[in-house]
Amino acid sequence: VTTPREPQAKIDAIRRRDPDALEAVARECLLPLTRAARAWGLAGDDVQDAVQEALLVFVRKAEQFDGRASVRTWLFGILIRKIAERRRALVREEAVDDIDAVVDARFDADGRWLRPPRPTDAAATAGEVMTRVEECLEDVPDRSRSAFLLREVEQMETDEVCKVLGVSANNLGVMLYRARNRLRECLEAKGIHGSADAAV
Amino acid sequence: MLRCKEVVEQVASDAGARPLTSRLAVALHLLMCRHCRGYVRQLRQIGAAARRLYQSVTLDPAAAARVTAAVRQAAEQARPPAPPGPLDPL
Repeated sequence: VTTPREPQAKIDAIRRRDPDALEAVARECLLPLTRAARAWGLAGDDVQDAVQEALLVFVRKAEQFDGRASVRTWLFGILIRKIAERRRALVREEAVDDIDAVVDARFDADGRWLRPPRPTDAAATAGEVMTRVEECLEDVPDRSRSAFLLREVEQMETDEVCKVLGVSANNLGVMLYRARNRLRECLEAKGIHGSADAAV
Repeated sequence: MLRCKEVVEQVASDAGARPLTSRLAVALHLLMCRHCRGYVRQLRQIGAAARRLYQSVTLDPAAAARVTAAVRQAAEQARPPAPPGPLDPL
């Protein structure tokens, strides 16, 4: 991508660390960054600490900002690294994930459903589904969860997500596949997708 | 005709740039397959719930003001020194 994602005047102001421009960046990105930090599993003071730390790193590196990715993409990238440091989690993708085997076991050799998904429980309220999704997100590995949140929740474009996570489009697809299937299996296990009796 | 497993693979790994051929093939399969329709509906439901969950997070105004002030202060300190102004006549 060669076209800048931000207006040139904004890029220039950021690069020379214009306080007004950087304050505007902070205002613009504070809520999305806070939401992301929460969604990545931080709570309490850790949320604000991580967000502030990410913004201060951005200020420090402002002259490197070239506008090829949006400000938000830069900041999400920094935030993800900060959170990974905090949790001392490994920021690497596992080559195999047991969710792959779980999904494969639902199909026969011809790729037809052997164990089809249970139908959605019509009685489950939106609030219940939301609570269960929050619980289930905790069991999604960090990398897959990041991919899911940036794409599905933050609704970032594919190439921006790839930049933030430093992965290829193919890798991103694998991470999304795992996150979505893990969430779906988890919800089904919690009964949110209805009991087998309720099938049809 | 796509198999169910291929539908699941294409839909679940969708990063927003799925080619038209894939979308058409999946749509055709969904017309005829109740199980895959249910699967796709559940993925959509999960995405919607995650977005709602995310949007329920709001900012504490005092905390937001502290962070913004810290950013401004850091920006001011990190700036190169301003060019000298006109000399004071005295």
